Amino acid sequence: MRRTLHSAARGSRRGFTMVEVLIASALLGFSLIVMFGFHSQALRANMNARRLTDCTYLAQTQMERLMSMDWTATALRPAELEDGGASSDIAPMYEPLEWPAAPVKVNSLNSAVPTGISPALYTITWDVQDMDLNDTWVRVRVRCTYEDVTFGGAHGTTISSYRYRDS
Amino acid sequence: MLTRPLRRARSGFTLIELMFALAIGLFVVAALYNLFTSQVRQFVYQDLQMEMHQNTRLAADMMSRTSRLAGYGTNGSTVGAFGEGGNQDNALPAIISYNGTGPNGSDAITLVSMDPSLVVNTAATFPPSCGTSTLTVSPTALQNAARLAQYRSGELVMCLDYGSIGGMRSFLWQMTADGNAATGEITVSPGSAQSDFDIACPVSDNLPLVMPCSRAEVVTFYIDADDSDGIGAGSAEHPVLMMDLDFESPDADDVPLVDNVEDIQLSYCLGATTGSTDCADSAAWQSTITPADVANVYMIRISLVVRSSREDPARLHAGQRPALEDNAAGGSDHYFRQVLSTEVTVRNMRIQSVL
Repeated sequence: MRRTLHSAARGSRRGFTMVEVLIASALLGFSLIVMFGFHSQALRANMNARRLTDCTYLAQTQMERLMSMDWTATALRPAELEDGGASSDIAPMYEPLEWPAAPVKVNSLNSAVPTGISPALYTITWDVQDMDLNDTWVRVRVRCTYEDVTFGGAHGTTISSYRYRDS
Repeated sequence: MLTRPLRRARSGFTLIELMFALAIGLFVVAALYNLFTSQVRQFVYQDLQMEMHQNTRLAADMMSRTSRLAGYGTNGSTVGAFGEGGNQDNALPAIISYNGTGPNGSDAITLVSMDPSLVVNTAATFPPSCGTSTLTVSPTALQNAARLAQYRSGELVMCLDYGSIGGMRSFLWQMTADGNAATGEITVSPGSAQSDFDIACPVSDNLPLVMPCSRAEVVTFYIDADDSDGIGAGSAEHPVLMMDLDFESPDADDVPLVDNVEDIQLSYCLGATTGSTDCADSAAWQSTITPADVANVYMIRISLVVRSSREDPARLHAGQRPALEDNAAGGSDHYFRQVLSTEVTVRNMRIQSVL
């Protein structure tokens, strides 16, 4: 009886041991780290979604410009854009394509449209290939890439389209 | 024997210990609270921005797709406008620009196309006056009956007159009843606002004997930021991109399309009637066009400013509607904003340009 009382009283007033406290706080710390990881992951995904949207629209705009040019077989052929159907230009995914020769980073393809983002992030490059020897059609590819400055790594998108030459 | 352990057990913390522990505890709670509020703030920011991104994409997609269609379905015609030279008195231009007429100096645009799968020819026995309220086609010819069944009350029907001496003319009416597949009749409203474009055909004149007609898509995009007119969903705090489908805007039947679109700026890349144009050269662009320019439009640039649905609740983010094209910047506030710009080749104009 006395033993029971004694041990019960001592047990209830005993508090936590140092080891228990350490384990508990370590667990709490780990779970907090994991939860902040989720949060930064969400921030990153959201930012990348926006960058990729911008990138896609920039690439589409460049594609529209290329497609709206006159693609005649002879006189008005924009020769500077073509590489004569070379098959050696299979650039790695985030490498710039052939044109322009010295790509610059931009945020907008037209000076009238400031995006409010600084510095410039996106690199737009393209190439054009003859699809046959008869000057019937060409393939146009446009690539937009950007560097994820906060978390590192290259991202981007490549769009591709075909166009029959104008007669 | 009993008293010693009990007394020791009741000794408790000293005041110093307690204060020390409380101070540490308070520091920890304060740090956690800071962390918590900043996380909550970031969450709110992300939420606002994500919604803004989606709105921006939707607005850009809707406007660029519709722009691409401009001039489509002119029955193989090579004119960019639905009429010779785009003379607005005779024919409806495929693109009508409104420069800086909207709230905050925003632009607006009307884009016209026809549905080539629903073309019907008016019957040769039908020589009505220009003020007619009934167009008649032969219900037995070709697929006229099936096509007429898709003509709906409230939508627009447009007829073209290729044979006019002064150049092609177009006539636009709003239908007041569904197309009648049995009788071949299309009932139209002769006195509607759309008849601005039948000035070329005074009521005393007659329409041509045979005209190709089809359902017309006349889409106007504009920003509504005015709630005092009782029309549309927009207000100054909540500007809305509106879509008008019956060439009467602003109007109570316009469709609210995308929330929080603050500014639309439209530019047009014009070229000569033949030859090429370099739309990468900013000199080729202008902020507005006349009906006579329509056939020479190569590209349309659509630039949008979309803002978050509300201001940064913490008022920490310094925002401002940015200067865009020919529109100056707005005052400072706490909204998040996104600018998106895209260029669209207007293929149906270009057909004429190349020829």
